[in-house]
Amino acid sequence: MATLHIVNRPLALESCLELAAADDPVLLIEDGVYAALLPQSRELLMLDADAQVRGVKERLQAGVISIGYAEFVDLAAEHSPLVSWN
Amino acid sequence: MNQKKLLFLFRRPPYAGTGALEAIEVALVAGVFDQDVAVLFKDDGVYQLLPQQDGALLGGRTVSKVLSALPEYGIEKLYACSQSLSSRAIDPENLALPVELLPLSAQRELLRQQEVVLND
Repeated sequence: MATLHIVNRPLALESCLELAAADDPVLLIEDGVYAALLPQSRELLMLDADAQVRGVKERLQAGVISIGYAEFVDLAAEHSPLVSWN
Repeated sequence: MNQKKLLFLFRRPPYAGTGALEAIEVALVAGVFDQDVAVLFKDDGVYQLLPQQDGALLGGRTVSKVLSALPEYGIEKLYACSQSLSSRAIDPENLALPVELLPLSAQRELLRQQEVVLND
């Protein structure tokens, strides 16, 4: 089963991407969504509400996909292990 | 009790608050309960491995001494990110704990094998 990587601080994304396999989803939450302001080398998911709160939603780079809480729950249920990067 | 494969991913420096110490204690408890525990020191977490620490100067415990209890609690899968050590000029031959150095590819494989990954 693929790993779900959950990034909740922007500076943690670099370490996360060192260890995330190409088919592992990487999800930005909380302050991690600020990383969506910068161009990234791979596709990233982002929790929509956290981006909206921070004014990030309208300034996304290409390759960032917005998801809701229900999809977050599905991802968490479908992947193992879950790895937090904070 | 159900045995789980647990990885403790330690990325915090040792004396920034009590997070690092508390996480080590959780790892020790997991060892006591016969869980299949591994520990990976990465990023600023490798500063925990420097020898000759002295937490008493801050009125607290010495993180490297607490770490040295890990093998005594049956936790012998101890790893460090080789890149994190070299980018911080830390000599892997002189660490407070016997760790195996892992390149990124081996760390990726280690993550994939886990059921639960916990952070400090």
